[in-house]
Amino acid sequence: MQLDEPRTLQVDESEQLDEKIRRDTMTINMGPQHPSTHGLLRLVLTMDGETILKAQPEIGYLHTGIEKTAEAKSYFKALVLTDRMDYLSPLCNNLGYSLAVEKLLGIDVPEKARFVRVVLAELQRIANHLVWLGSSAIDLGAQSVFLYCLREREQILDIFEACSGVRMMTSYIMPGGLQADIPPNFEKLVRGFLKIFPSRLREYHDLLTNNRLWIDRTRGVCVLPADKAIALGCSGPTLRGSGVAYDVRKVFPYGGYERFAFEVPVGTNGDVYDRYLIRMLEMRESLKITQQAMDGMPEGRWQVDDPKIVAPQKYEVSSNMEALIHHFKLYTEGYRPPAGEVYVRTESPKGELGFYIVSDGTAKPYRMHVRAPSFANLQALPSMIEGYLISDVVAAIGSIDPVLGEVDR
Amino acid sequence: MADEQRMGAPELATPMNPLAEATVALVRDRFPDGVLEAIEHRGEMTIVVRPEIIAEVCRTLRDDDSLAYNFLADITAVDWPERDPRYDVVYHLLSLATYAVVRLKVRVGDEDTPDPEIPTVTTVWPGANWFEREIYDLFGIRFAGHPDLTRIMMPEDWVGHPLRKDYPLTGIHLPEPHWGGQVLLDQPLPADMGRQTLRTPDRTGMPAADNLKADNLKEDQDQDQPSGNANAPDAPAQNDAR
Repeated sequence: MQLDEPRTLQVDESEQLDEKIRRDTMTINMGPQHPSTHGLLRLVLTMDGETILKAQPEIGYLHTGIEKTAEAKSYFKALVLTDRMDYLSPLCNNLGYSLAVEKLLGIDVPEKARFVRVVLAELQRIANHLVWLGSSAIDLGAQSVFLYCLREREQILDIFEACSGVRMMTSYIMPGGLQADIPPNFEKLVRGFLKIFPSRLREYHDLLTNNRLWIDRTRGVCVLPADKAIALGCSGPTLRGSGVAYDVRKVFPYGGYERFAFEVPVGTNGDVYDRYLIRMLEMRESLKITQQAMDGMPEGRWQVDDPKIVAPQKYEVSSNMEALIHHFKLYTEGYRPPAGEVYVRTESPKGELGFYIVSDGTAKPYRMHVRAPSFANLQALPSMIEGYLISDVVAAIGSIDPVLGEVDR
Repeated sequence: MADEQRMGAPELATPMNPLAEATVALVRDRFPDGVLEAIEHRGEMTIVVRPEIIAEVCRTLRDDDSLAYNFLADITAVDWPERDPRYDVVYHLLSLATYAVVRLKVRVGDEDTPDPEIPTVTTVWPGANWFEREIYDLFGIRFAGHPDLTRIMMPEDWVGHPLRKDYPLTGIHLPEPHWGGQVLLDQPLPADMGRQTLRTPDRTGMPAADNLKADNLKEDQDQDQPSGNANAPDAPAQNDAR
């Protein structure tokens, strides 16, 4: 924009000045390269002074064509694409995709696989919320929380590394069960984490929950009423913060969640503080679920007993002709689910993660669409921030917890 | 749909079948001519309706007290190039009051209407806005009455709709080095191509339909053509005016 030449104000103009200032809005760009936008999100903000009159999110900077790419991969290979959508909770994406493919195939995984999946998905939820907590706190000026949060997240990533050999893009949960059996030290690692985490969670509460500065920045800020949240298709903590108790794990239990006792925290005001508290309380509930799942962990297979869907073990491949053929067929061609379509919803840390997969009976998904929770939640951002100050924008973005890899896919 | 005998996994099936039946009955009752079929597959109910009434059906389902589908979970599309009509537009509805779920589907598009148009449902759920923009962007299906029907994922001047099945997976021919933009090979490559950006005005408004064929995708041709001075950073600046 062009700045006016500085000049002396004429007397007869001064009356119109107030009106002129009122009309004189400014359009500014926030992002796409901005540390508080949690990725490549661009906001076009129309400002009146510091107040936001209109906000328009621009997305697509991280569009990688995952849905298109999946159409060219076999079901087995498309799994790794799901890690890269919501890269802060890859195991939850794996779980959603695996459940969808299993529903297409009409198979059911063994008990042990279900329990391990629940443990990993809940640990992943905690890890995701830790990154959210650290980064949204750092956005509002609370620097030290970030370091503590990442310290605990490291411990969770160590568990993932012990399972899959990879810290983030694990692809560990796959259609048919798990990629490999859990390592011998799995129980020790998880129990170790369960032991120390409650006290760490209290530390975070001590740092923020009753912190005057934190409350001033978050309470009553960027309110999203429940009816708007529903109409805009919000889900997860963004919806529950507005007082709607919709959690897919409770309403449409999947993968064995119906067996575990846990509560769904629900907010009342729909402001940033409520969304903050909900995620903090969710971490506690995730701990509960993890504890129960570890206590009830059965022995047995971690994959379905069907060589047409999961690869045989390596020692079998080198000693058994049939296993070798299965191995070869699976990795070169893959399996062919019967024609049909499924939509499977799961509760990812961000909200309702839906996989809509259409099979035409071939070895590749004819169409894989991902209902990304961040995509729908981000749509509610203008309703949240319009009328508030520009400094509240980072609080609102933090409270939605978007991952742009998932928004753009 | 085939192969029902392998259905297992009882807990994966949606447990809301009575509500799904009630939904079908309601839609059939209100729109006697509008329902093409109702299919149940893997425990999920799909109602196929005529495209012109989709917004009305959605409004009816939202406003009905006993079902109250107040939450639009998802809209997406599927391209079946050999079929007529060519596209499925798929709506996933959910009721946060009764937890009923249903899938609505419309079939649109044929040879005469390569860019079909259906009514928007943003008037029913404002959250449909971005989902419909995404479908417009990636499939080229238009939504009549949409408040802001622009591209959402791809750049504004992009040519073609990438999720259509006839759009090549590797994109339209990208000579190296490229800026991530499109270069349509039916046109002669400009000498200053290395200096072109995604926003270069010359690239907009080109006739696109013929360029989207997969046979444009000749992997070997692109490596050499744009070479030479085109991508040299210190080449004489021919298009400073741009």
